[in-house]
Amino acid sequence: MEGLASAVPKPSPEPFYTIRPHAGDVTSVEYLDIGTTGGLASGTGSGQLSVWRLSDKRQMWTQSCPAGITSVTRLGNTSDSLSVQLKGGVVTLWSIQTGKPGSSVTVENPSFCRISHFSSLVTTGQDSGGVFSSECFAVADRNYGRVNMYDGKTRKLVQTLSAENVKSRGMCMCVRAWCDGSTGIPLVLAGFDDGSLLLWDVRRPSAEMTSLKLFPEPVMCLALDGEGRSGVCGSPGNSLEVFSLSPEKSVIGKRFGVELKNPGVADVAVRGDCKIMASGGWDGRIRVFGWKKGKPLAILNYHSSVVHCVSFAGRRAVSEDSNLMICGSKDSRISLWKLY
Amino acid sequence: MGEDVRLKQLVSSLKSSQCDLETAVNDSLSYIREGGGGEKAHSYLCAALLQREGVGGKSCSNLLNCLGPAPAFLSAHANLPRVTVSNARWLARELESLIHISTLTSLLCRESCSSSPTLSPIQQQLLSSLTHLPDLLANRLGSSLPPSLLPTSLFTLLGCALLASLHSIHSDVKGGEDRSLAFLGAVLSKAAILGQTRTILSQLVPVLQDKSQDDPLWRRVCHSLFCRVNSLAMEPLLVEMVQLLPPSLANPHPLYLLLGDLAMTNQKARHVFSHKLWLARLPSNENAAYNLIGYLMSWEAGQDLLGQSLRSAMGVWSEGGAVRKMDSRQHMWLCRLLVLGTTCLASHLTPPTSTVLKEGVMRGLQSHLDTPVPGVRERGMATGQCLINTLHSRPSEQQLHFDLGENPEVESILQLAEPVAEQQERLCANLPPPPPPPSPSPVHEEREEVGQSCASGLVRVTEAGDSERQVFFLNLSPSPFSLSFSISDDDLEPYDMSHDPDNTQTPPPHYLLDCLSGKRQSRCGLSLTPPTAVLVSPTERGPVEAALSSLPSLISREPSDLSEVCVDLGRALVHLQDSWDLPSFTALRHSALVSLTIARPRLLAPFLVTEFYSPNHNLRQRLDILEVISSGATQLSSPSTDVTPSPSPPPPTPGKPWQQEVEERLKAKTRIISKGPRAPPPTATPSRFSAVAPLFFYPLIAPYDRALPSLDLLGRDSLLLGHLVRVLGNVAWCACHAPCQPAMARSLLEFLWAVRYHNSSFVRQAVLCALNMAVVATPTNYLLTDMHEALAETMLWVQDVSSSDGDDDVRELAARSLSILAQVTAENT
Repeated sequence: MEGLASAVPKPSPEPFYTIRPHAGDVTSVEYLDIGTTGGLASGTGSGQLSVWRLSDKRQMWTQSCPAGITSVTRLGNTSDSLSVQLKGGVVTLWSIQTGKPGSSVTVENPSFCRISHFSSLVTTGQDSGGVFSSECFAVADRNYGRVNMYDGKTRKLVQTLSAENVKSRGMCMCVRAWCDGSTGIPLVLAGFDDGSLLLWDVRRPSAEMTSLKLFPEPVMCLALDGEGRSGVCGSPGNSLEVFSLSPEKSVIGKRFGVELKNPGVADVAVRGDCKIMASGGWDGRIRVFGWKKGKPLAILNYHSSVVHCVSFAGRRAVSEDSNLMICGSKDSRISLWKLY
Repeated sequence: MGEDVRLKQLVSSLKSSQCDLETAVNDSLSYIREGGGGEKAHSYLCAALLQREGVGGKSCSNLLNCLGPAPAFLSAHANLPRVTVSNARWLARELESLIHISTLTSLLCRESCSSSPTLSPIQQQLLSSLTHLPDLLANRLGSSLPPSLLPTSLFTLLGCALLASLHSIHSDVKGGEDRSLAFLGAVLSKAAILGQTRTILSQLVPVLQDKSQDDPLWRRVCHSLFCRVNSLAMEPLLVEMVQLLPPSLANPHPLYLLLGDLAMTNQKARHVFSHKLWLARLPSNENAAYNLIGYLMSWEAGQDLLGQSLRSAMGVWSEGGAVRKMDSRQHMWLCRLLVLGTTCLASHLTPPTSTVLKEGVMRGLQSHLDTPVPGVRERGMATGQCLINTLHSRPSEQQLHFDLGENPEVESILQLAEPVAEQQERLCANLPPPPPPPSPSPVHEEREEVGQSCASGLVRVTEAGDSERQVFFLNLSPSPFSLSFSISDDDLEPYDMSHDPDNTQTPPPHYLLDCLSGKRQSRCGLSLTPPTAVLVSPTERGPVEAALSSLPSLISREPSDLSEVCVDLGRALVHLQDSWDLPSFTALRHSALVSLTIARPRLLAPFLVTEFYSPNHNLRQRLDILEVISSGATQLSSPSTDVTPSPSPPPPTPGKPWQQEVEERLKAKTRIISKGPRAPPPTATPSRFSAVAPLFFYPLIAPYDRALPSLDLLGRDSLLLGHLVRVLGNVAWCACHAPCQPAMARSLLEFLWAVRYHNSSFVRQAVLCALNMAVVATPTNYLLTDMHEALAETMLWVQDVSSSDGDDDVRELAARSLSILAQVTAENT
């Protein structure tokens, strides 16, 4: 009986809850820990910014922004701030508790590239000279082959990273910034139009440390695992590529690729415990894979249009949300899943 | 005389079962030891002994061995086919104890003491008795052969013995004595002919290579050994040696030290080195290319030979037809040889050879660039690039450089064009490291055994064994699997993933124009690709398949733009190539074209006929067009099948109405004796074909004698002519009852008159078919009035054909035609 049961796969899971914000396609979702309960922030293409409590699934507050929201990011471990990037290039800090906007900085960016704060991955014990605090973020420049670093506190451009061969790279499509866990070196990884990944040591901005071409098409999305030692990226093609990083040897190496049935990947995410990864596709499906070998685990067929954003609750999540996955789609729904 | 009588007595006493075997054998033994009769008597006695049942014991084996191993082998060989199984078993045991490294070595040494350059008949017998022993024993004993008498072990042992005797010959020659290597050469040849080349050479070559490295006398011994090899055995031996030696480009090459200038002195060896190894034999390992070229580069005459071989190989490489027919391994081999040969020979190239090679490269590069097979094209490009750069010796910035992808084959070719010194360094560096302790495998155990048994002999056979092991371990490539991520995802149990439909499946087009220039829409409304012309210049498989399969239904809906686009659509369909090997491409295209023809015959028929006679079509396309015309005509002439859809019955309401209920009950109780005509009589509809038949017929028949460069109906395209005649007959038949039909039949008869004596029987059959169709379809009164003369002549021709045509089928068909004609004429009289 046991054998028979294991031969038939478990039926595909359903979302345990879905949220429908008032209007617009959901472009960005972020898990929040509000005191002892979990929460979630969502931004829509029509500029609506909302914060929800997950314990009773109620809205805490909602605000309208003057432009469509590109990304919503939680700052740091304990801070109350939410960094919201708008289409025009304005990055504003909002208070989670009060729902009031704080300081804002206007950046030169092509507005399709989400910003990446240095805090967003791992906070290191070592301070890298105070220059790259959690309010410092990386974002694409309008010019080919460049990535800008801004400081949210001083509202100034700190650094411009430039590729060695600027013309052939095209524009930066997606970016991740973090400080290396063991050495504390500030690093920036960016995916470009020509389908390659470039890695910078921020202290040497004039040329990249190393690069790796992964796709014939542009890199659309990029995610790193908890240690910043490997990551995954997607493109308009029908594959995900998983790579490994070793900044001390300045090497990016390809680990394996995963074939998707339908082309087009809008977002990828890796869960904090490095067990699974998920991709949101242009076909409206969320695909879940094992992180170690890329074993296909589930295809979640709930959304009827492009899944714009996929986000895991991460390490900071309250205990009951440890396996929570949040996805937002063009069909203006947010789906919440609990897997593995 | 008295001796003979004694021998006869002994033989009869050995044969007869009444005499005691022991005494008879002892008598015979003492007779031979006394010196009576020698080997001849020994063979008689042994033959007699082996005819007796239950041979065994010490004295019998003494009798067999009393004159040494050679007579024992000879008598075993002579008697084995006749002995009983138990005697054969005894013999096998005896031989097993005889076949030992020291026995064989002393045998070989003894035979090489004779100074005659050719083998004596006795030596030849001995050779065949030695080498055929396993076969003869296996014939008697089946699979229960002792392991040491299996061919592999026997020839391994022979190899060891050969090596040992070479050692003793070497020391004898050093001592100033004369030795002949004829017998040893014959042993080697025999082994090669029996397919044991690798077994025996793997014992010999490593040791000989080592010895010949710095001892001229050993080189001399090796040269004369390989000179004595039979011409039949030369090819397998040389091919094996080229593969067995470790790869090297050293000068002089190890192979040259072993063989000397054999390629110049021996006709067969020359053929192998200059032709067989290049074009006919395909060595299985990579070493061969280096060894072949390295050997030929070792002396001046060899370099000339290499030049000649390069020229002839270039001739093959540059020829388009040969490129198409060569299989991919052969092609790779030829490319490697050409590149390596040219690189090595570059500084010694004579001007005529260089010119020939340069011309060949240009021609060959062209024919490779024209090849549709990507692998062949890339290899050809890489080879051409290397050859041109080497032959023209340009500075590095002016060198030809193709943008070749990363491909192990291409890279291995490019490697061969590196400077010779670098390659030699790499080859030296790649030589195997000292082997790790061997894993226990049956092969090795066997080798160990042999090695141990040999160790009692003269030679250090462990050397041979070791290098064999090295080769074996070389094949174990390191596992590409990296263990850096040892934790797997196996503990995660996947969910059901069957609900993942393929969105790339193209939806069928909704409009005719979509088929011509379709826009692919994904489900979420994102246009993934720019609009492409689906059928005009197809780029993807999906849209073409979808368009082809939905065309008939689209056309049958009679869209308003059908008249506008039908000719364009027809043109696209006629020119469409099956680039993706679609499963039913021909049928799909045919049905699409036919439905177009039926829908708009006035536009399509002239178009199809023009296309048939237009210059830029191949045979297949023309045949397809004919088929479309024919099936279009047939379908148009048959009554239209698409009845107007009857109003669908009202949706069944829950619970039957009472009338229906009553009717059903009545029906169930009524017994119906006979049923009248149930189906309504077929309704007459005007033929759709009668109005357009001339459009199908006359344009098709008119320009048949006009020859185009690509179409010569009256000449070489007789197949097409036959089909054309049949289609014309079919069209004439389909036009049955149409007012224009008699005129058509008349023209057809005239046309048939022109081609009736065609020398292809296929055309003559088609003519008869068309004639039958025309005659059957034409009203009889026309046949007998207007066409009477033509018909009478035709009948005479048909009679002639039915009696005297060379082809059976044609005669039979003509007889049938005659009966039809007779029937038609009889009807009216």
